[in-house]
Amino acid sequence: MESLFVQQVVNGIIIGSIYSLIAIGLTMIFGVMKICNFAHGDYSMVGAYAAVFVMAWLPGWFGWIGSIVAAAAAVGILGVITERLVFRPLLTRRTDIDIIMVSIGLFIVLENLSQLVFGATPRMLQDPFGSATVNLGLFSTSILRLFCLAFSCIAMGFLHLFLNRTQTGIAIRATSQNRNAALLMGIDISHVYTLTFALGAGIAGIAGVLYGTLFAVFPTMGALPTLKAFVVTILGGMGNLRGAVFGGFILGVAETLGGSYISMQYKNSIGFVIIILVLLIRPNGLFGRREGT
Amino acid sequence: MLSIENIKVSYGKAMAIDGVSLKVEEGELVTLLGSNGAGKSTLLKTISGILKPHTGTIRFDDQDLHTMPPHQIVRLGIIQVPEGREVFPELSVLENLKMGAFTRKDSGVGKDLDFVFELFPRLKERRRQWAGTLSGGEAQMLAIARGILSAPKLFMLDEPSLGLAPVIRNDIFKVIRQIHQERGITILLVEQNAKLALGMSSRGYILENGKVGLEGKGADLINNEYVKKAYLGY
Repeated sequence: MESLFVQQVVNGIIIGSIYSLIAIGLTMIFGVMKICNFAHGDYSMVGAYAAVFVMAWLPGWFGWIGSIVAAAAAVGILGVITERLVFRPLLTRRTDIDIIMVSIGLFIVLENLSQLVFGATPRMLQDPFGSATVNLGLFSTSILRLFCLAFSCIAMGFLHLFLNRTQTGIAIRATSQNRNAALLMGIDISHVYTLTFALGAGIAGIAGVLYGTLFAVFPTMGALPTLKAFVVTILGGMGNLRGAVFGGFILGVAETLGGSYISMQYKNSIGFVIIILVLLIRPNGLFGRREGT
Repeated sequence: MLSIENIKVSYGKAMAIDGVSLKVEEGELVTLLGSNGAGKSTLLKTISGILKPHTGTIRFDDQDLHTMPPHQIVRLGIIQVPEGREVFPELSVLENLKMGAFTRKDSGVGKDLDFVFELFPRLKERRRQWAGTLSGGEAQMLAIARGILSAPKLFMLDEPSLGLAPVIRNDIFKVIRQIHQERGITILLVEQNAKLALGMSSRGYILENGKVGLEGKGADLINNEYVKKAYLGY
């Protein structure tokens, strides 16, 4: 009984780290540009397909790591393209609902386009470690899952360093906190927007490779992660990066524990129960800033 | 240095600035007075490029500002300390100051940092704290210090004494006079506190309903009957 608990917590942390990765990009884009992008999970889907192609001609763990890098780059570019073509024209004369509608449109377009190009058959990403597992006493897990956790943490670590230690990173945070003041500092806001989308989408692309390795790659695989990223974002406070990181882990652990102790069928609804509770008790999220600051 | 010719700025249909002309020469300290809604903050926002005039020109030395995006205007050395401080609440005091120096590549940043820490020792003590935790007076100090870090040629301050206790207000004014006199920075000051501001100004403008109602030397304006009645309260 006790080891089942530890086992499920570990599983939750691993899947939660991927939720965090997806949610970080979503919350960053919301914080800087006030855009709720319902196509965000589809960046992960595109990243996963990038991995399918890279691993087709470069097998083994070398191909796996290569595909993570390739996915980050390809999806980062896709992010910039969607920002320029889809979202940028809306920013001057927009209402929030327009942007939400357009992002849902983008999500439909990306999913159907990938179904057209790649077909509906799910593809599996090969496990570079050949399904090897490790037993660490209280729990056992596959080496693949440990590496997924490690890569999530490394990606978040680099993002943290970038946002806190570089002038450009601090400028991104400054813009999300006070756009007008950022203009008065001489920060080129349009440059910050582009960079934010590149980063947010690129990280979602990495998450897509990890998610696709653990599950499968198919055109609609982005839908559930999008919803979960929104759960995480609301849980952690919209626009709050630290909140997104912790929120992802909380959701992951809550889901796996709920899945094993309550019912596997209700696993995916647990997040939404949490969201209702959070919105009732702390409408600005667990780590949310107060309004008006 | 700065020369504004007959600009008009509106928010939708509401005309906020209705034909203002104004000059600031190098080395001057010019005060802009006016009641709430007279268009003072709108004017500063227009100079900074956040708002665009639909007619008229704004020139700085020989550059046209009215067609330039805000981040380029900052690079010319036109720096604004906005009304209500507008510090970045979840950046540390030091990070806020670094954002002030965002456009600078020169080696003088470290020296300027020492300079503002000397001006405002409180900021040095709190440099690792989030700016959102500062008191109103400290936040104003930070906003001014952040502006100094931008290496201003023309320094525009929008109501720096608003809502501050008299002691802190006096400190702020002392610092403004100090950077004007010791560093020779040209200043355009928007103030409600007419007496203090005009007292140290070379010239002043009085803005009323989006137009320049009166202009003149600081000392002349203080003794002007209308100004006395409307802005000095006697």
